[in-house]
Amino acid sequence: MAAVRSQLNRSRIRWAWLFLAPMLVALFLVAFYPLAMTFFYSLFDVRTSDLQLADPQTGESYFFGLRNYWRILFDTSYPEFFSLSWWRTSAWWQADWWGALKNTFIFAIGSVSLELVFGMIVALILNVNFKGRGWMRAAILVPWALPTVVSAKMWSWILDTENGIMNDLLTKLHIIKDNINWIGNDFWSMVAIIGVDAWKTTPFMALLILAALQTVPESMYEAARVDGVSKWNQFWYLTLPVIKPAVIVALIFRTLDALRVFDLIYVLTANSRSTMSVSVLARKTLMEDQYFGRGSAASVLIFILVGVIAIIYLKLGRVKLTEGGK
Amino acid sequence: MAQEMKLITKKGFNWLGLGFFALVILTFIAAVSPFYYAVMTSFESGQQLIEPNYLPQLPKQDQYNIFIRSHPEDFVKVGACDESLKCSNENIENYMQSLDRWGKIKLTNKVLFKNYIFVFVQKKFYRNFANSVLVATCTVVLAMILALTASFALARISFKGRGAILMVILSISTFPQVAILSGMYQMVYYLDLFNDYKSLILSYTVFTLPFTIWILTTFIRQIPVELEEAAIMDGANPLQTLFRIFLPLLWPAIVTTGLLAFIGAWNEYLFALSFIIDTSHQTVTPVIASLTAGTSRYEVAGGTIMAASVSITIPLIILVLIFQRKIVSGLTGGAIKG
Repeated sequence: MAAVRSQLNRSRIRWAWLFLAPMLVALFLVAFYPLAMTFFYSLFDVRTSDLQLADPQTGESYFFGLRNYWRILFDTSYPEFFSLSWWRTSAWWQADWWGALKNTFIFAIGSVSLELVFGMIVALILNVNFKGRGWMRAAILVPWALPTVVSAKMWSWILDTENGIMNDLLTKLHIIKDNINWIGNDFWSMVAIIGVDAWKTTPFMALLILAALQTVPESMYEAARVDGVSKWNQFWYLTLPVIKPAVIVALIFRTLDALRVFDLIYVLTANSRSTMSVSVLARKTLMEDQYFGRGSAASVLIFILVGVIAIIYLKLGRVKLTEGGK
Repeated sequence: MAQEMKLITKKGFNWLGLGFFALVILTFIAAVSPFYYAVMTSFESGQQLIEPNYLPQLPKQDQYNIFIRSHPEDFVKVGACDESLKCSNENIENYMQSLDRWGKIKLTNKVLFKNYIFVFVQKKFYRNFANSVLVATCTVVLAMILALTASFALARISFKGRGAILMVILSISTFPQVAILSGMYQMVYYLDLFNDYKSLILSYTVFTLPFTIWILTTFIRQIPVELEEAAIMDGANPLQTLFRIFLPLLWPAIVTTGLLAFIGAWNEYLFALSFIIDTSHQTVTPVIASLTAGTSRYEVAGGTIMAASVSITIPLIILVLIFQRKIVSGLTGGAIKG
């Protein structure tokens, strides 16, 4: 019997690899190969128009070492980089990369914290039993269902300086006196982008938190009510610890998503330096400036950035999760 | 909490309830009003477009005038425009007064749907719409074929390396898209797939496949083991087990993941922008992002952009509302159990 079982197992394992093979091949083709190529090309001085790795006439290699990275990070090529006088005179922090990195972090922190707050509020509303809850749940799916491009175009129309309804509404409510240039102004365009992203992604956060809220057993609330625990304390000491792990998972996903933002910023403010994210910068370098190598270097840096943050998050998340379990 | 929140209870008026319902209404307005405004704008033209309106309005005289002047040849026969295709305000007004109720309704509808007609007929947006349907459908089918067998193996067969594969799949779903953009661009360049929808199907697989596998794996794990054991007793191999026993049970999960993958492919912008240059081969998102023209030289582009936006969004919203519960469970199940 045991022999039959182990033979069955062996045959099942063979089946498993057979079943996995097409998927693994596909993932290799669409994920690992392109990723490796991005890294490979980041070491060459390649143009996007021809993708040549060597001069077609002389055969001289375009190998560039890490110079694409120095270009992106310090706006210089490698030899000057080692001289002390360069450090004294250069303003390397003014390279587009650092501005884009700052924008990306401001965007990610702003948008994720806003949607956490609003998502929590919406989830708590939906967790209450009231007439019209079904309608409400359907309504909050609308922002989530809109394509990002559509949501960006729609909001740029709403936020239009002259004809937009937002300025009109704020003027009528006596909140502002002069029209705000939402898209053109350095400060307001970042506010607009964060706001629009929070509007679009709050539903996702709310649904995740709601699903977690519904795992809190009703008997716990009843016990708390009997003991006369206040609503706020119920939320703080009862609900929050139970939903914390799910909220942390949602936060991880949303932060990683926010760090790679492209569509919204590109459609709303194109390549404007005051709002450009690292992804927008990488695409601009690749496609518009035609520096394929340098653009690839920027892409690799973004990959490393997101990867490092993902690992930190996973480590922290695990620690928190076990604490919650105690 | 199980108790229903009501405005008027047995104890009298519920002030907490008032605050609660105010919050509900505010949230509802915040969620829905921007799209409501987009739908409203898509029916506006001329002066109406640049006036901020809060409620839908019927076309004004100037919109009829602009509409008739932009299609003068259609209105020569009825006398609104003369033989030299000039339409005076007086002639137009005379013509409109001569219309019966039905004729007026027909003309009004033409004016209202002007942006839609412009986008779909003049701008040939139907081609982009068809491209998007094709690309999204193929992406979903490909992801399903690859994910079904893989998820079965990951959920039901224990073998060395299963955990590692699941981790790899999870980590791919956190890849920044731009990180594979240049590698993918190089691949598309050498396979000569520019302006070809195959390049999009290929690149969309990188984000549809991981979460499809993730959700299907969680779902297959919940199917009782007894079912499978019975199949094994009958001598069925895993392929037969999957297709004869599991597939019929998997339809809800397939619908959910398929829908999510479809939405993902339908909404994608970065790859669509980079690999397809020719407008006639583009999918809907880059076309909408690059629309800059109103229906005439003197008109802002808001109306036409909103018409295109609303027409690509309405199908999605209908799908989402129909499959509301399934989508919500797919979204939350995948993330929470993951």
